[in-house]
Amino acid sequence: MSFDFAFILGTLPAFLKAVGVTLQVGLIAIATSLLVALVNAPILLYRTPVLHRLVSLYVELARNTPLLIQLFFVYFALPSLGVKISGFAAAIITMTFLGGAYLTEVLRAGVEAVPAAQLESGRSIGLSEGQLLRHVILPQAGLLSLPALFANFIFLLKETTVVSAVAVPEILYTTKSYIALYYKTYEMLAVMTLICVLLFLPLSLLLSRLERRLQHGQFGS
Amino acid sequence: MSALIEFKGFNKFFGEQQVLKDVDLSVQTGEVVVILGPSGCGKSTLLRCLNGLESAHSGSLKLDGRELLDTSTDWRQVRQQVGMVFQSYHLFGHMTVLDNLLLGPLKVQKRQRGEAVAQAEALLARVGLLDKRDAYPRQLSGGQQQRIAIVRSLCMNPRVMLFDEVTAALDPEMVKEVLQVIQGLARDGMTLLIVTHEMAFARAVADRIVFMDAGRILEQRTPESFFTNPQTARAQQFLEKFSYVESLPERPQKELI
Amino acid sequence: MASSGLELLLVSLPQLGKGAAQTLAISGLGILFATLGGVLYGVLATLGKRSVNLALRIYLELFRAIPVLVWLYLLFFGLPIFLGLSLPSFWCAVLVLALWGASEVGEVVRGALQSLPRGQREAGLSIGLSGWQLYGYVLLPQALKRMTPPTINVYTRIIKTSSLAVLIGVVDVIKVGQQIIERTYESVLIYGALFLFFFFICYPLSVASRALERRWTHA
Repeated sequence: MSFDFAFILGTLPAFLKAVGVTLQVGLIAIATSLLVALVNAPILLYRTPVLHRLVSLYVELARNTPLLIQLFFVYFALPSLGVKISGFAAAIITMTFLGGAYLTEVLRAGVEAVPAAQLESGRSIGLSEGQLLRHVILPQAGLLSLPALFANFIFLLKETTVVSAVAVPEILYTTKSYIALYYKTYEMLAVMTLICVLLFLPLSLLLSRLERRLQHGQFGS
Repeated sequence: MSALIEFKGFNKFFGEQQVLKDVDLSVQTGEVVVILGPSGCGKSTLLRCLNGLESAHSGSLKLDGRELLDTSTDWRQVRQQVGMVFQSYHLFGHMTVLDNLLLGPLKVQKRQRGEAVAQAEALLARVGLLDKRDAYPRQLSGGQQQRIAIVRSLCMNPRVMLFDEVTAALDPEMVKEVLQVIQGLARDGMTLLIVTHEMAFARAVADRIVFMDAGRILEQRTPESFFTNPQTARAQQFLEKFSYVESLPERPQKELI
Repeated sequence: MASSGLELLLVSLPQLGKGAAQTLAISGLGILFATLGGVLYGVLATLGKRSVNLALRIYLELFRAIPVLVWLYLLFFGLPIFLGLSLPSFWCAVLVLALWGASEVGEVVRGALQSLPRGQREAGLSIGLSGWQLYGYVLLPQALKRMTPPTINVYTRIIKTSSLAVLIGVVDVIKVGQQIIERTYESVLIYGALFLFFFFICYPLSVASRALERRWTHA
């Protein structure tokens, strides 16, 4: 079994582009999901009548169904209703739908995790609800949700591989295309694995370190 | 009469730090030895080496003439002969009291259920907790749990019982009931190694006091001799801390206007 | 119209049923092996042997760094090349879900075991329990309550991820749905039905997990 290094080198530009697409889709999805979550979380926390039930329903629907089905629905089913979308757009919309639900939960949990004792001591020194929010709740909620936020960001980045199913030219799609075209299966699989490891392993290790460091600080607060 | 337990030139390290230095200690069958000393002196570690929860670095440790610091030692066998009771009792919370007591006899010693239950219930009755046989640990007070922890170890029919600060985590009003159980064991001739901070109790129950500091045994004397006339400076300092309350000067009556 | 849509669904039920059986079979087997593997992982991870912990860590990070879909392709395309094995895509999917699931369940089990007071282990050893007995009678039973809600969450993720099997050619419920769409063009209806299919399996599990967590955290 020979390893065709020359061939691999030839494909590098394409793979570099593919990584770019992965990052593009991933980062846009992260940003839009965060926006969705920032809108939804307050609705859930303040129990805005009617709206908060809708948001809850959205969160449950998005979190209890596979990304692939959501993607197929947007990409294949919507056109029959007259809405034609590119693979890229379908990917962004779907991942925002999914990511928004996950991040909403993370933000909500972050706020609810602020110990009640903190609120009590804040109120007992005379802080108004607004001041309480700005100086006590949000900073602490932010800190508490950091690991989960980061974990979900990594999750969204990894899920971009699923959008290969609608022909978005990210790393998996590129790998499959090259295998279909040139039959250099062994080499292409190796490249794909290497890219995944180089891209995601550092992030995962970073997350572990973040979790450990925040654990030490948590009991202090 | 050769000793039941014998530490000789016993050394133990935690990483770089040496926690037991050249310890020589013999315990005869039926003896009650109380180990005293400041925090961190190694007394708990010494106990834990005896049933294999901690490993040693060098020296000799013999139980009934058999060397334990040997790679062929079957610690499961040793632990059946050396019972241990912990500061936080550590009863198995998902089991009833009776099941806690039966686990060792039935699963480790493979004894007949009828006989094991009879022994367990007899011992429970002796500590006054027979009516709790079907209760769960979380329904019991600390003192009750600790007494049951003692019974759990006794059900294995050990030759030696180790007590590691068993009253330190108890509310004061429950200390007495546990100490009474231990006194009962001493009267019955069981070999006991006790680590405690209860000075009065140590004085009352011990056949010998072993005083440790910084990993070494500094004094080994009879209780009366140790408490009235400590020989080393460290022992004197140690005992002074405990007599602090008694030796406080009387508060002058304040003039209340 | 709506009635013909419903009619179509009813008529396709046998076909969809077969596909659903495949999906559930893949998920079910994945869950089974992931659970067994996960408990083993958790026990191994708490034995305190550094070499074992290192091996487990490498295994874990491999499945975290490489997305599940990539693993599916690696096994599906790679096994024939590397081991000369041609595993049917059904079993590729089960294998990947089992291995990935085991690492996730394993971390849950490890966390649960490590959250038990250290004294439980010592108390168990002190009455002469062997390693097997210690885990079997003392540690795992007590870790069970803590393990269950997060493990159910992993199960939910396994079920959702099993949908990816269609991409390596398994004729699961999605593939059947797509075949029906090819004939009838009723994509909204079919994909909607598939959406609800997964929802009505996963949602009850999520609810159960939360309910158990609430109940058992106050115990």
